[in-house]
Amino acid sequence: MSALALAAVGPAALPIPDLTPHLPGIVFGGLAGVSVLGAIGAATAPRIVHAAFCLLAALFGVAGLYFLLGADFVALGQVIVYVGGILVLLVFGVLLTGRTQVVLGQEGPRRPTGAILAGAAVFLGLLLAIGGTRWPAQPRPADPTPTTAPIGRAFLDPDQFLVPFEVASVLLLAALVGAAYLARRRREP
Amino acid sequence: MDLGPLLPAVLLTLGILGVIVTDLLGRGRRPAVPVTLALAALAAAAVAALGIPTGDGLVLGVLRADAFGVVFAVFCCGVGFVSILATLRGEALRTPGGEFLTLVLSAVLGMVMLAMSADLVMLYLAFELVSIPSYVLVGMRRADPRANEASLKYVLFGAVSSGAMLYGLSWIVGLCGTTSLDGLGAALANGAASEPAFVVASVLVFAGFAFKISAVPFHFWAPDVYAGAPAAVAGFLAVASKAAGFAGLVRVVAATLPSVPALGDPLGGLLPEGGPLIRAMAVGALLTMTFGNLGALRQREIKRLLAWSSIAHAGYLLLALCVWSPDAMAALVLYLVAYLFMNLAAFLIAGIVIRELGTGDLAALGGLGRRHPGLGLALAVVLFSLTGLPPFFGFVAKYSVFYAVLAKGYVWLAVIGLVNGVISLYYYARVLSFLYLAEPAEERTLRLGWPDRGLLAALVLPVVVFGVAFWGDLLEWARRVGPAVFGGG
Repeated sequence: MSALALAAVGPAALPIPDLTPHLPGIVFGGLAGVSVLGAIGAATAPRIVHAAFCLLAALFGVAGLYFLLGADFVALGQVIVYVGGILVLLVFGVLLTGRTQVVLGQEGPRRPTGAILAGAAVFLGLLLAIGGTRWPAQPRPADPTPTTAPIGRAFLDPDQFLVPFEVASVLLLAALVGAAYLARRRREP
Repeated sequence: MDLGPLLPAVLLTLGILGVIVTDLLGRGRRPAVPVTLALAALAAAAVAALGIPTGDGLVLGVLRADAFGVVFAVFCCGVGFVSILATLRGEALRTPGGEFLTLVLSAVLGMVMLAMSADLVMLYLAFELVSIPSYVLVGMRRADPRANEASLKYVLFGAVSSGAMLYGLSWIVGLCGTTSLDGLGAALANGAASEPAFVVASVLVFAGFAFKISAVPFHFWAPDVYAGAPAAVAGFLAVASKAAGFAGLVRVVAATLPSVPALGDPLGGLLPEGGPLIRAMAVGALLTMTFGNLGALRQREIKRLLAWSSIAHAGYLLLALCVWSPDAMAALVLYLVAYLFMNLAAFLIAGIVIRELGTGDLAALGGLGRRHPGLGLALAVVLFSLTGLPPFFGFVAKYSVFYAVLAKGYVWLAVIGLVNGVISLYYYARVLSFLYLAEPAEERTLRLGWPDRGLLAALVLPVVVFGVAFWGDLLEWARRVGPAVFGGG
């Protein structure tokens, strides 16, 4: 029985506290935990395939966070592009080329203390800044509305993001030309 | 709806498509066609940019075609034009392929859009449109392990810094609720500017730009990347990419600065008055000048030396920026124009020398000045101008920067800048001592064709001409950017 169904029965019928107001927090905590653990795993896993699968968890967790915030288009884009495209490519690349077992974690700095301290300091600074700021609160829409159509209109609206949208296609073209050039079999001696 | 301001971007995009198509149709047998097309596209874009009716209004919601944007658009098209010509005469002495031209044109398009952007989404996309082609351009010579290393380093550091910048931008958008630079100013004036998150986000965004303009402490990629890249590409990065970074930085500062409260003055007038970004730029300017010049002192290879020198010049440019007055903005533009001629000429000479001698070691330059008086004279003019000695263009540029600094009463900043000029004289003059005084290890003559001489003359002559005369007219022209940035025009 899910927490939602329990809550629907009501607090009077069962001696279980009403979780409905806390539901977004609980879901957020779960998704954030999956993302963070996945990211830690991706950074520390000794085998590159394991790292790739941990990355899968991290990317899925982030997609869930986007869903939670009502950004359905971005969430689906995250799943289709990152999980479906890039990650599958990564795993295939590793499996098809990795004849020798690559063991990670041996090339890094021998004493990571400085890096850990610097990272912790940056994290603490960011945390303090986030905590100390009065962020403008956005009202959460009562019903989740699909965002795809407004995003599409904004992309093609000459007064909004038409030019960035077109510039993005030139950017992709340039990246494609560059990637094709670098990956082409070399003919030069 | 007036689409005139978009004409340069449209011409550049047509150039990109034309280059790809003619390159494919010619199958590499007629390499001159795409090159001509690319040069024509750049020239046409520059002319079209000059003809844009400048105004303060927004174009298509995300662009601003004011005098500032036009000046930088013309500038970057010019650098792209010269860089393609310099590649023809560079290390490989081979006509560049369609990929190279496509990437140069895309990067120039990114620079034009960056200089004109009035929206954070536009700004970031343009920033990436400059970066991604640059990564590939650095690694164009795939057979050279040094080029591969340089390209990889540039990609890694670039990805991290633009990630930091994007993260900072996301905070700013979250704080202000808009991506438009105008809306940003309004939201910041309503109190968002005093939030701690805004300070952190400003630092992150500044880090992204500091990487692009190779300011200390985000400079360490420059020497390796310039040394591994072809000389013409290094010149392109050192001049156009840096100028575009400054243009984007000016756009962000101009949008946010008026709404940001000034900090206190604990150092007694040592640093310019203003918010955290101005202070960060002032400290960055001092560090960048000093470390750039100190780093250049012990270089033995010409492209690495020029890389450190270009870091130092980023310091002088930041100095002009942190003063933040219309005079200083005009000085910044004047300095960039001088820097264009001096630095592109220096990198052209580096490319020619490496092409002929096979090495860029300063020791290998021994005695070249006596065997090739023309080349020696050109290099001497360029190096003295880079130092900032009269009667060359570099002097006028440095003078106008220091004048703007002193006009605001920041004596110490100007003094440190002058001390740095003296330090730079040492390493620039050291190159000349190799050129004229050292005995060559082996007698070698350079084969200089007329295109080498012509291109070099076209770059070096303005360094002399604008140093002696006409620089007043140029400064008047540069003053047009002031009202665009500071309002009132």
